[in-house]
Amino acid sequence: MPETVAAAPLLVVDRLSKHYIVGRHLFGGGGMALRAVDGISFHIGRGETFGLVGESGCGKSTAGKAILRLTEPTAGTVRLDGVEITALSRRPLHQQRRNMQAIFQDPYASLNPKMTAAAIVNEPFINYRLHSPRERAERVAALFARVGLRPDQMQRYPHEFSGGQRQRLGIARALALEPKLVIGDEPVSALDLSVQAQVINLMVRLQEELDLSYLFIAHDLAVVRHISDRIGVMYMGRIVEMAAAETVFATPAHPYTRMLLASVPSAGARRGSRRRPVLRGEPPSPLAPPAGCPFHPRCPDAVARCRAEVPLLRQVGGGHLAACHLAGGDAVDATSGARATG
Amino acid sequence: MNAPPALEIQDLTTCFDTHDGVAVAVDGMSYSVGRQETLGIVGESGCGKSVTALSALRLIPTPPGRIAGGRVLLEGRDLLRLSEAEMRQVRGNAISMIFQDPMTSLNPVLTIGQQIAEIGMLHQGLSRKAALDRAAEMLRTVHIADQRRRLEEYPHQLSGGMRQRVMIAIALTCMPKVLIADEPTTALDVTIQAQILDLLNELQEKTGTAIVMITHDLAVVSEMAQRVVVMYAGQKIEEAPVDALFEAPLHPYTCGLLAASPRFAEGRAEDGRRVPLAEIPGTVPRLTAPPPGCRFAPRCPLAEDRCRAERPALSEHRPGHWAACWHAGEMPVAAHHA
Repeated sequence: MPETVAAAPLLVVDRLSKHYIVGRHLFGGGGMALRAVDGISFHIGRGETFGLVGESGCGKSTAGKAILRLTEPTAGTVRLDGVEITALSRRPLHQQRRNMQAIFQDPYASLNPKMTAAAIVNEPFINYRLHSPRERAERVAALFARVGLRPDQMQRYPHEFSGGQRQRLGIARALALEPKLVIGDEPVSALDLSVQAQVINLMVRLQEELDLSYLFIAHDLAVVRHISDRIGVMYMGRIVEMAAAETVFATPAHPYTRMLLASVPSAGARRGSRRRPVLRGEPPSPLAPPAGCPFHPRCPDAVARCRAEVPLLRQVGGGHLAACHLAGGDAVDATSGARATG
Repeated sequence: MNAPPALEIQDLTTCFDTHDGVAVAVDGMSYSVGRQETLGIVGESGCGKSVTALSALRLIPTPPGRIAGGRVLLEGRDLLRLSEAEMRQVRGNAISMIFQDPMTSLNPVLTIGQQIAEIGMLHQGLSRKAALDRAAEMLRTVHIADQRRRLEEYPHQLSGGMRQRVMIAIALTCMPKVLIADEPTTALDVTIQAQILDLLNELQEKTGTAIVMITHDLAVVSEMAQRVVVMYAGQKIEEAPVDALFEAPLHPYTCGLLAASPRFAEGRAEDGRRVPLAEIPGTVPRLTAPPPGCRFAPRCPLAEDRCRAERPALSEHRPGHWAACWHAGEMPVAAHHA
């Protein structure tokens, strides 16, 4: 860690934006910009897990796709291990994709139903023309073992696997090219609790064994807290708070984060004993974002400045950033909305 | 406890004919829920929690499904003995159900107003005008503003949270004795989920409706229910008051679920290291060929020969706390939520 090379983050995302033009006429003209991702910046260290949380439509999945360039970013840069991904043309991008792989919520939708499990895991080797046939077979077998699938399952088809096994298969395929970064977009959301625990533990174990970095995108705060070292909270395309996982949960600085945490049902809150400042209303239309802070219409603490001026993400504590005019110092009682857990 | 419970299910069994044989999706299920009470039903996909509820409302498609036995008593009256015409008078009236995805329950080509008013016209004999007034009142009850405009709108014009409010309005129009809520907030964002759960509690306090809350989410149950039933592979394996279930679960499956949940498990050790979640090895058994004996035995760390051979009966280990396990209470419970 003390050496500068080791300390350089693996992934650096700088002011990344993805805007969609919607409602444009057939021949151009008209149209409004939907700022799905609006200038987000963060980094992920080697062997680190960065969790991106937020509600539907906040832009977290689009951010993941833009980093992988599965969708072209509108602005901003992504650097992976010093290589500017956003500047690459098609062929070098293809080569760089070996270093960053994705796993998705529904492995069934991302696994070819006509291919056997072994062929699915072998496919990346074919795509990248890697290894001899013999070595490929050995590597596929090793990957099966690594993710906890049995050798006798290699010739089965995706529909013959349970949800948890399919996610293991998706992970095996993602790991085939020995990536440095794995982006998981709701990788355990569709799984039942007992199976979810198996897959989470597998991901944690693989990270330790392979020194992987994870960008873990999910809406489930408890899952994100468990797996992440640091967390970014997104609201309407922006990161509104970023800190170490425990800091976000113990001392949330942004009113949105506080309300998000307070909304989570927990065993600590028995019926009627809830002290939840329930988040009133729903997020505004991303096509017509409010002026000033995007959260101000739902924020109980909003003042005139919040309606006029967009708050920038700024330091409110050691390694703790929040985009709120009122955060930091003595302006906010950070514990007021947080639910005590555990 | 003299009046009959609002809803009492006794020894209900529901089967489905499949290519692999007969699947007993619900196997001798019993539970009851009283007025003003919320009963939580938890379990993982395929455990039979929804099929039990659909059977109670006689909404199981036949074939392939059929109710093979049992009774469903709504204030003492057995719904399984009613004619289909009589049953139609009961559904949406004395007993209502809301589902996970309101978009599939709402008719996309009818306005919200038409869909809520239909209930009042059908079950309460209201005129069209009176039914629309009642519909507006129901929208106010579920905290939807600008009711008259909303009545004119179609489901796709509403957000997911708003649609679920409309479903609740429809379900509660006739002040049912029992509301069955099947994963009512699973598709919703957590902040909207909190609003809907609060709404259900608030409405229950006003109307006294008994609520059966079906969910896979232990935290939702812990916050909503007074009593909880845990299902596994078509059977009830544990039932307890909510605090007892979370503080001193008896069945190894329940213990396993709590320890597997990142929400309840202790995620970090003292030194900050991540503690792995407890895993329940394996997967649920196929319902066409369930294991003999205890159905959880193949995945259970406590299982021994007797468990694999002989099905444990539900028995009351502490007042109101039932479990079906030969080794109930022997599973060490991690300090999952001090």
